[in-house]
Amino acid sequence: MYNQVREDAERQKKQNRGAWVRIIFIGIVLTAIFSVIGVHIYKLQAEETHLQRRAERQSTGRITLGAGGENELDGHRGYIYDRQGYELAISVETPSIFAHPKQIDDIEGTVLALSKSLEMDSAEIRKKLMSESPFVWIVRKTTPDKGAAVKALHLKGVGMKRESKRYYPGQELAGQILGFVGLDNVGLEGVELAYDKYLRGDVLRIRGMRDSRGRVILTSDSPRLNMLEGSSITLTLDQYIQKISEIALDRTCRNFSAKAGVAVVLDPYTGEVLAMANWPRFNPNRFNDYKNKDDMKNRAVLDAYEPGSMMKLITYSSAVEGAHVRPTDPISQNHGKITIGKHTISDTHSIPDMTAETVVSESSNIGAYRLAQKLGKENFYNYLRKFGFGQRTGINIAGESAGILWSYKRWQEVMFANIAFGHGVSVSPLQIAVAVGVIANGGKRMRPWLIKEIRDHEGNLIEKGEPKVMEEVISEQSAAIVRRAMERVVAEGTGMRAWVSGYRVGGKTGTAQKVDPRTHAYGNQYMANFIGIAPIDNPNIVVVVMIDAPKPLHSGGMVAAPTFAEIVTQVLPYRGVYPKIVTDGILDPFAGMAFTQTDKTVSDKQNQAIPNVQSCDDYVVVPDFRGKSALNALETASNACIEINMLNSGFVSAQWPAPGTRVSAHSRVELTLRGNYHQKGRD
Amino acid sequence: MKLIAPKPIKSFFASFDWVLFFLVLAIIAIGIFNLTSIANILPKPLHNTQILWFTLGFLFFVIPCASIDYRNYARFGNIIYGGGIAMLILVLIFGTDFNGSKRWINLGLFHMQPSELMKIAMVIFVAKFFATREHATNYNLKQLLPLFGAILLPMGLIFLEPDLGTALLIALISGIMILFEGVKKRTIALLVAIMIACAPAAWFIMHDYQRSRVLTFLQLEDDPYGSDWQVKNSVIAVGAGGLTGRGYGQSTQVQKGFVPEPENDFALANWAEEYGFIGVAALLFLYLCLLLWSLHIAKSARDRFGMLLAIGIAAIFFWQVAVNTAMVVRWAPVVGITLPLISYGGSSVLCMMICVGILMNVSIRRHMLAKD
Repeated sequence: MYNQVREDAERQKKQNRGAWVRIIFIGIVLTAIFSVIGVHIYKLQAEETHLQRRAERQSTGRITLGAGGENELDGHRGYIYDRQGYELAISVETPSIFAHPKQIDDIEGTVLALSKSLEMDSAEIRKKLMSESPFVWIVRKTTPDKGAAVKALHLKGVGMKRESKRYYPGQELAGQILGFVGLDNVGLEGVELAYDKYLRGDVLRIRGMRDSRGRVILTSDSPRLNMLEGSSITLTLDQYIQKISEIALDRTCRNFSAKAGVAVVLDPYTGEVLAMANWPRFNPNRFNDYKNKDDMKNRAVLDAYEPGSMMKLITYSSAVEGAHVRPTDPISQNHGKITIGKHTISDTHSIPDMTAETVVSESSNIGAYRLAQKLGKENFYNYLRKFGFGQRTGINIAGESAGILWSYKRWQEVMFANIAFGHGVSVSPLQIAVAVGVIANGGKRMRPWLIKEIRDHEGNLIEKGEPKVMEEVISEQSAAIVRRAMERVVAEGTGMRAWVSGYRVGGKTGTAQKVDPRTHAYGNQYMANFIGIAPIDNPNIVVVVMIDAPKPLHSGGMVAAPTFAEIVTQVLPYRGVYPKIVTDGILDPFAGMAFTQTDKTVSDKQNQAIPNVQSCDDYVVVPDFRGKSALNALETASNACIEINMLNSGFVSAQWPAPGTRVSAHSRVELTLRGNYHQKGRD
Repeated sequence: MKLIAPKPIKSFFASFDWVLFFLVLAIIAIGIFNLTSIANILPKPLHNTQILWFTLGFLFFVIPCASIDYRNYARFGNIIYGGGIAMLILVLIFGTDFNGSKRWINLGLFHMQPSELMKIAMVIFVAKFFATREHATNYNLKQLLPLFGAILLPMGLIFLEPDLGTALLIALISGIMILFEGVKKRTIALLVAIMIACAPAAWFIMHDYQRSRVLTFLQLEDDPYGSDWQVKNSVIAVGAGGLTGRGYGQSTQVQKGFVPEPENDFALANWAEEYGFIGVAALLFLYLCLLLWSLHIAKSARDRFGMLLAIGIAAIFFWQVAVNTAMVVRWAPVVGITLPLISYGGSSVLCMMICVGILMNVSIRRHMLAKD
């Protein structure tokens, strides 16, 4: 019994010892394995710090406004308005089609379906779908119709993302001023470029907006999409004045097969740019179609031209102010020819009994030189600087030209003479408009400006344009003397075609020979220029028209002056300055002359230029605008006590409300214009 | 010569293993706490459900499993094993299909995973096998052959589901128990040779997705957005935790959905990202304590069956912790092995509760029973 127990105990003990050893061994192994795992995790957590950065990077989805890609939020770009609040540039949601090529089973079928509904080349789509990359754009910012068509196909691996697309409802309207926006919503030209940071808004960094597949998730904490919206900009431009200027410029440039043309309308008192038209026209909605980059550029600000005889206004102003020249002072024409060294300066025609004033009205080069001589080089140079020559106007447009004005110390006598009548010096169209603005507003050089105000997406004012006097250049008396000479230019001088019925206007023609870029000598191409103030007796606007290389006529008086008249006729009533028939001509003996000379034109135009004096009923009937030109439509609207809003250019092709609808007086009628007025003529 | 004096026999409650109880409770608490931090990214918060599972598991599995004398398990060992096999066959016929594999039987209240229960049945069966044979020397192949048959049968059935991970787990758990009992060196060499020879065959009977997982794990196959991409993000999550972690609810890798199944297979990734190395070390330390305590229970078990049961249960814990951790740090392919007591899920929790119950049973009976 005892033995049995002892044997049992022995055996148990032996077995237990075996188990003991094994259990302890297992315990050691377990501890060792856990240590290895622990050390590895320690390495991962303590040493591989790049993992922490990676996690950080992965979790903070950077959301940039407008940047492309499937994963990014596409905030709306701020709108651009004209001074009346009309939309010049808007942002619309458009579909973009993308594909995950690897998810597509039936490549050929997808290619076929896509090319059919997107009207795209199938080879192009196939190439994209064969791509190795996991994500490809098939087409960016297409039309809603096409987007809906693709969506309806329910293709595997093909998706649609809504993107913000810039749209310019006015098409070519102010195209070069506005500039355009690239596919990734970055401004590339014009205001879009210069004010990109406002329009785009801030770049927002938002945490926790992406999930593991990189999709953007908007949670309730996330900023609302309209937070991403950029600020909107109101321009000093007036879409109506802009439209009129563009139409007038377009007609002139086409009629005279010009290379290019510019027209600027400026408010001389404030410096606000009311219109800045460039030709050839540019439609920012189709910026890809323009191969010539020059067509996109705002020549009115970026290009400098020799002003030619327009310069005589500045020379005359300087002489009146600085040398106390009086309009009646006799100036010797020296039989139309003077010689400086081996150079000869001549006038086109002889001017009997030339006075300081007729130097301007008859545009005498010799007279201009004589006037400048009364000031002397340095004094004349200082006046030119005061008028803003050779320096930027400060309009804040990237790449603005300062023009060229050499220091008087470098002027040789012939150059001095040339500058006096507008050669050997260059200015941008805006610069000369500002300089003549001095004459218009009574002596102050204003800073021109284009941005009326900038407001953020909540409507808070961020920036506001203010008139700014840059320099007191001449006295009011001197300015009045020059304006009188300007009126004489139109009434009896070289600028008679600038005559506008019912208004007194003044201006100056300019016909500048262009320097041939190959020979660096004056060639047989001309700049036909006209700059004017309207009305001259109570200045409201300054208009400059510059036509590059017109054919067959090339004089400013023949080519540019009528364009000026066309713009002024339409803009002044719109600005609230109504025409009156000049009958007595108390102030101006030349006005009557002008009246008789263009008698027929006056009677014709009397029917068109409608003083807005009629009284309106409470309710009026919408007239039929269809088929009318922009000008005609405006007149009709004015007669009918209706306001109109015109889209595009040409002739009215559609209107809303329909003709015959009864509306309250001064209601707005939307007109859509279409077609080429040029082919059909004006009326 | 001194007689081994029998210890005084204590009551069930007096002999209750509080160390085991609190170790398990601590790990469960970490698991539930871990679930609360990811509640916001789950379709519905799971920590309350998990608490319910543990409560049910404690009431209906830990207490009964601990109360019924474990020697009864040996008595009904064959029936338990047979029941497990029957369920594995049933799941192949009536199982619910999730993601192309039939692992679950829908019991209405929850989906039961028979392969989880099979692990325990296997432990009981192997323990019984060795407890009824008393060998002074190590086993040879011939003696082990019936056991191998009994292991390969459920492995094959689980492999058919398919669930490669659990099938291998059955082998690994049994393997520890067999090695613990002692195998002749010649036999070990022979078994290793057979395994190497069978490896290519295993490759051919594997499913495509399984091969793909192995290939991507070995970085032989590119898988930018598949399972390997997710595992790499799990590694980033662990690394992002740093030494002290990013804090409660700050695990962006998990919160942003880069890490898959953070409530289940990848629960450790969330824990590691939120509490860093300190958190991971604490958790691993708790597991190590649990394992060493299980070994202590095994060592002091009243009989051989009890000792083998404790070893087997410890093996379940060990392999699951090791494989799951290796998976999270990308040392092992994704095989769907849960982290014991931490991962969410009815079957997993209940299986773990049975394990704890059996361990408690063996532990309690150290004091309640006289040595035989």
